[in-house]
Amino acid sequence: MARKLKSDKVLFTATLLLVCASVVMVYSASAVVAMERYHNPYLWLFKQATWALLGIALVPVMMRIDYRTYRQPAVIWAALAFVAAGLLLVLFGREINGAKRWIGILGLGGQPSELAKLATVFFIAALLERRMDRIDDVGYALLPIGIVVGLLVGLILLQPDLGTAVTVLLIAGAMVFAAGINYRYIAGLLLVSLPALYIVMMSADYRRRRVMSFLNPWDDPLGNGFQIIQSLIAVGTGGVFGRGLMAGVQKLFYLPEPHTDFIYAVIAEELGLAGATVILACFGVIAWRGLRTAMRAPDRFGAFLAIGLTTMVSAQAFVNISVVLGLLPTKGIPLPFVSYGGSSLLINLLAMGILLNVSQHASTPHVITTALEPGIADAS
Amino acid sequence: MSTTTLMPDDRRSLTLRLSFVQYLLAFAFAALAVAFWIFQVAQHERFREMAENNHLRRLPLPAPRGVLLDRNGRILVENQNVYNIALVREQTRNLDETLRTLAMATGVDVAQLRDTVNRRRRDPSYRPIVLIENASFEQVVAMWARRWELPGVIYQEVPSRKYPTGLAAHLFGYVGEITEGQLSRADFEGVESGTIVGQAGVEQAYNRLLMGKEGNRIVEVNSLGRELTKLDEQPPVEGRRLQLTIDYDIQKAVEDAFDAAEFNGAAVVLDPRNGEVLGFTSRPAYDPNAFASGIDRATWAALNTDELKPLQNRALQGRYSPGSTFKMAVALGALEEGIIKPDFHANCSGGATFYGHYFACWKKGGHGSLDLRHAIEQSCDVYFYTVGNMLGVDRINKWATLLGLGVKSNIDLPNELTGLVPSSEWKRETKHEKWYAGETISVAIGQGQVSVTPVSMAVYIATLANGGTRVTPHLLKAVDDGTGWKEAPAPPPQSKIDVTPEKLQAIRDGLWMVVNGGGTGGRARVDRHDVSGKTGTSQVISNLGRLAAARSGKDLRDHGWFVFFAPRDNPQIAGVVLLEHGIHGPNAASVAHHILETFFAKQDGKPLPPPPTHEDLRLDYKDPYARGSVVTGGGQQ
Repeated sequence: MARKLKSDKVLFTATLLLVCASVVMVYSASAVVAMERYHNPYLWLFKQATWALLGIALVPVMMRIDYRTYRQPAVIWAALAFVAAGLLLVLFGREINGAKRWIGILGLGGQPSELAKLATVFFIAALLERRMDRIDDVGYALLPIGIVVGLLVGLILLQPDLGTAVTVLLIAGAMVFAAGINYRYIAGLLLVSLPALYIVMMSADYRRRRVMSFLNPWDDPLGNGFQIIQSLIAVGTGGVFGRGLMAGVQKLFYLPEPHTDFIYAVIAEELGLAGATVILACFGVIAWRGLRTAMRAPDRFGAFLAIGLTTMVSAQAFVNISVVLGLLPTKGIPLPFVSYGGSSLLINLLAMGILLNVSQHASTPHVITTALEPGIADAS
Repeated sequence: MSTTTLMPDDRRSLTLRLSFVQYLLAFAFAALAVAFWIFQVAQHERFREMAENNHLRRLPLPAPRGVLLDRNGRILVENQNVYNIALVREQTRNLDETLRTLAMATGVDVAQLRDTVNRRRRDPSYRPIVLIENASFEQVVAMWARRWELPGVIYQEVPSRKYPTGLAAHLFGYVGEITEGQLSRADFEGVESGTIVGQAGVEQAYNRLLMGKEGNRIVEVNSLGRELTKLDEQPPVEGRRLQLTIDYDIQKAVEDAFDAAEFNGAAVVLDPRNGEVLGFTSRPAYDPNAFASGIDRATWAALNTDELKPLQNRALQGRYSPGSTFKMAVALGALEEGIIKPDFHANCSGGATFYGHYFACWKKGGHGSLDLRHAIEQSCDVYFYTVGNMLGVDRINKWATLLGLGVKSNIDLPNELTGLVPSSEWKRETKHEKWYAGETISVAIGQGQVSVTPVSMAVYIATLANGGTRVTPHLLKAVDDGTGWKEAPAPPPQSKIDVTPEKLQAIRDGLWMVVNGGGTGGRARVDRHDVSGKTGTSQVISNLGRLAAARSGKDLRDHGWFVFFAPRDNPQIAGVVLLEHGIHGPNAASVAHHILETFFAKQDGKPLPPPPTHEDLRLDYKDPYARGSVVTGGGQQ
């Protein structure tokens, strides 16, 4: 961009802070486990640091690509096709921990389901740009979104990766909601889906046990309640300032996946309420500034892009932290930017780069004031 | 680029909705912050107390490895429980005294115990360090009697591998603790340090299937880490049971014959119709039981420094000149390329001159005029010098490769090496020189740069036996994953050649005559069964080198080969016997005889022949070179 543009420094700083916290906390959480399993305490630290450097280097690059590039049909369909192919391919791959999520080509690898989130955002943003006005027209706007999202979610569920599937649904939901869908639809959806959800949850034995253990983990402290209790003990023992960096105990034997899904429990134990709040605040800033970017975007596509990307990050953060606090059943969603994992970190940083580009094009706040002035033609 | 800019009414509705989302998120994050405050500050004491009482620990329970069976369901490799004596350092008061007391009670060297503890000093102190592996019953009793003086010393019951047959050490391989190098490899993903994995042979090739799944035990431990009560247990899942293509009786016959022959070497016996391996050995062997619960350093060092290299799998990794056994490749090439017909005659007067050099036949007086069948029967060198010279090295290479020589057999065992069948291209690439026609002459009788592995020779003779299909030798017949046996599909052949049956028949006639006519393989003859085969003698050293090295004390005796298949029509068994420094091919034929006799006895439902004695084999120890008679050229039989 030749034009001198101001990007959102606050948003960028919050992101950078999280990535730095990630490198430190992944080491703290994984050193002992890595030493025991692989005789190399730095194994996961090195990997995560490498991905972090690569990702941060990519942010300025993404900031220089005009976000309107992503609204071209060729880009969107290519992204969707690539993601679908990846999701299919991954089903024939090797199983790790009971699921097939990972794909490796020429020594490089990643989870295609991470990329699926980004592709979903592009697709819905481009579609809503043109069809937002008739959002309540089921066949015109909702059906195409439903088909594409349904296909992707279906493929992701085959892996199975419930966490990512829920994230994709949350992204789509937030974007459609912002497009102004009639509240009647929302009410209707809730009326239909809540009982259905209840039936699905209670029909399979293992799911019912999981839900029950979430509601009362102390009923079965060694089986299904084990993870939640161990996570809560980690959080609770943290106190105001925590046990101190590297001094956590729960990560040693008790917390499952201390450097991935439960890294926030390690943060809470070692850095206490103070550290946990700083991390939480960073996500709050990202959510707030991301939605502000959406409101100030010069065009619809930019607005929806910003909504989608912001939802992608903040919804995952919210769900992950809720799981750590035992407020939601265990899902397997990583904490964006912080949990160990190359493809997740890279995709989230790419998303931030795109969001920052949208923020550069932001129009001045007075447009909003005019828009909010009464008397201007009502929508219909 | 035309984009839809935001119209004021759009923006109004969007902003309304987004403000809603914004405040919803703000509320949600604030709720999380409050939850943190509740857990971390308000209920801090409660959780601190819980953490102190949180003495649950997950202990892994090792899974027994899968059992290996032979093709008739006979157990080849199984598991047994052994006792380890181990030490939990965090429970000891005086480490040095504990070790001394234990050493005294069990009769083990105290320095060795200290050494073991030192090597594992970086492990967490609650984790037991195994001090005495595979402890005897007496040692466990002695330890238990003094348990009050030995705080922190425990005994563990662990599953261990047992190889009851004492056969086929290299085939089964051995197990050992996963190495640092393996931990970082993709094929060991998810395997933790300290796990026992296959390190050679079938144990390594099918490690994933054999390993099973570790179980978990959740125990309550006190503040020192001692286990108090068992709260929950997930039993381990035993590894898959594997049925091998090996036939115990054939395998035993192979080993018995080698024991009687008292030579080192290798043997591979196949079903030529599908590549199933019926018997397989490499000598000298080792005792895989020594590895089962961790090999001690002295034994390991001895195995590694032994000049005879007992750990080397000679069947896959030994490379030897094929000698006269190579002649069938030259013959088939010459026939199929249309260079000669089976009635092509050459005259042997005990040697011939090619490109200014004199090449001798092994038979000093010469064979006179012979056709192809008799040239194979008599193993006449001059005949094959002549035919090989007409065929040329590149076409020899082509046909030898199609028959399986100089390429990998792709048997399902790790670390197979490739032999070499030279070609002009090979020489240009490796030595940057052109091929001289004179070099082809010794290649034609399987000398010169030609080198082969015993397993590739087995494929070679099986391909001649079955009419041109280069079968893939394999060991896995069926897998039992707990729900019953499932046949493992045989790997597809490596290649297939369209040979003219009449031409191949001429060669096979010759091979039959080797054993049943006036040839060199008479010792492999089995009454009422048509055995075909070919001997080979491969020179260990050139004749000039022999004179120079004669006093070095090294074993310079030639290697003896015998390749065979039977019955002559529609063969069901094919194989190779290699005797390292076995002096002559016919000695290898003696070993093969017992294998074939056992095979046919079993097939006919007759009692199996008893293991042969050394005398039964009637080995010929006359070393042609020992008399000082220097023969130039072949020395082939």
